[in-house]
Amino acid sequence: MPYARPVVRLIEELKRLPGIGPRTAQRLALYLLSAPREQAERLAAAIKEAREKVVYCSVCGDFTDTDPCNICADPARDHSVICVVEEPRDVAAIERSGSFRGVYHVLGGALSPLDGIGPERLRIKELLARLEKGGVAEVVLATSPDTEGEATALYLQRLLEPLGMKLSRLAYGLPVGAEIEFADAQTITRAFEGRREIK
Amino acid sequence: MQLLSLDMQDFRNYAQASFRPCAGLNLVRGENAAGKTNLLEAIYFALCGCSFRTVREKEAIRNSATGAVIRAVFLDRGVEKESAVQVRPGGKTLLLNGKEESRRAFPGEASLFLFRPEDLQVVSGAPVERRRFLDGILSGIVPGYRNALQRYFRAVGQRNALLRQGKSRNDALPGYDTWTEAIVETGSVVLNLRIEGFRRLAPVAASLYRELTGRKLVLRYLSTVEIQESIGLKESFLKKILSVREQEVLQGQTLAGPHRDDLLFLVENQSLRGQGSRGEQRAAVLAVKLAEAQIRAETSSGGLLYLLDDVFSELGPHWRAAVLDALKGHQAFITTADPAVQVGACSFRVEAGDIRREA
Ligand SMILES: [Zn+2]
Repeated sequence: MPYARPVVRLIEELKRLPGIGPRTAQRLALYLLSAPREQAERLAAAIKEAREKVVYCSVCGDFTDTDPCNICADPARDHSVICVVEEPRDVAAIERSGSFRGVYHVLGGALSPLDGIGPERLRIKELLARLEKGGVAEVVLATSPDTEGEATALYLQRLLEPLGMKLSRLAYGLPVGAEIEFADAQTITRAFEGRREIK
Repeated sequence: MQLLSLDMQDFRNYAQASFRPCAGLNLVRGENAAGKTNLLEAIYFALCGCSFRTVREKEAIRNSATGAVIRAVFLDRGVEKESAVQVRPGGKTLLLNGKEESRRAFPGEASLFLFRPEDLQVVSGAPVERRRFLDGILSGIVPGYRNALQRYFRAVGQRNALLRQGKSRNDALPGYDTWTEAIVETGSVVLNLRIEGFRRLAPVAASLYRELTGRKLVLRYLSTVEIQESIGLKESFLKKILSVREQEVLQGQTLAGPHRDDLLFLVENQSLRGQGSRGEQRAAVLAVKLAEAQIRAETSSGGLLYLLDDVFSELGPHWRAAVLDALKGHQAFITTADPAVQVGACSFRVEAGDIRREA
């Protein structure tokens, strides 16, 4: 009944992934072992390549394989509007919706003392440095509409208010607790169009 | 909401049992520990996708069995639906009309009214039990209440975590202002909704109590935040919370706000807590629950299903009549161990993991 050691190790590694419980880990491991060898190798190679080539953009903090990333380097984008989000996946979701032509700033999370995340753990200093350089007319606070995202937006609002640029918050028609990642393009577009100025 | 059939497999003390209730009143008779409450729990499970008794749901799997299954067919606003709940030691699966769904897709707490004998002890119990009692009721009568409460609790949890960090460091807590503003913001929403719900609930309960006992029941909400009219609720809350900052850091806990408030039951201006007899305390709680039932029956569109666990014990005939009156036109399940209870309903007997219809 116990699996051979390499199988156990594979299951253990899969179990560490978010959203993967012991049963799913076991199912995935057994699948990878019974699937064609090339398929498993392609997956291993893809993970390796992604980890080797993908870095954080030194400007916005998003994942990228060129630094600065394509968005930060694009002269056609509106660099006077910065949209502040929690995670790289939020950038991806907003980009899919095609509703925003400015640039981004990825915080790398949201305030959450329960997880030991205070302001110093987020890329806030980097944001302030970008704003100090000037040329930014508006900051859109696009953190999630959940408790942590709202608190993060509140923190940034109080911090950025004295700087004088326009501040706005997305108008979420999203159900409470929903994250940008799961919102459809139409919802995101509406959220941007209806964003309310908070200063 | 109407339950048409319920089938249980390896659920609590039921190895295999089928239940075909009537449309109106269903009396569930049986000795103590025969499985009457388990049957109500199964109905709740089938409609809400979770238990009302425990968060450790695998406890509901019958001894030595590998998993429990509950299947129900019910009418939801006239539409026949089928739900299935499978509880395994490692988790559970919820199905609605054969499709895997989350709990949110189920009819949920809005479709039923629950009375538990534990409710009767809230008058003399701990403040946290009274808050839970009140929150349960207000969730059913104030739209958006449950949601506001969850947001507030989440913010309090975050703020407490921050305060605990303050014990080990002397510098300013980074994010203190933000989390304080967050609980004032979300807590004010909760308080406003509580006051709104309270203003609807208290007079109905008082009038039922007067009708049934001839005496005056007053429910008083005890807030940890003294609301000063001149500055408004939010400012009052903020002022209070800033005044206890040192103690908060010392204790690692948010010390003021709706999560610390209390509820007082007064009869003829005497607090029932401590002074009131057991009978008086039960009557006061029942009046509040009946008020909840009355308000919800007026506002619910799909009709409520009532689960009343042991509501008749130690209850006088006036009160029994009032309870039965509240159930008119709804499907209800009332458990009792008292053979003297006669209510002219469909009667079932629960015995040794079996449910039989009585003549
Ligand atoms: Zn970039």
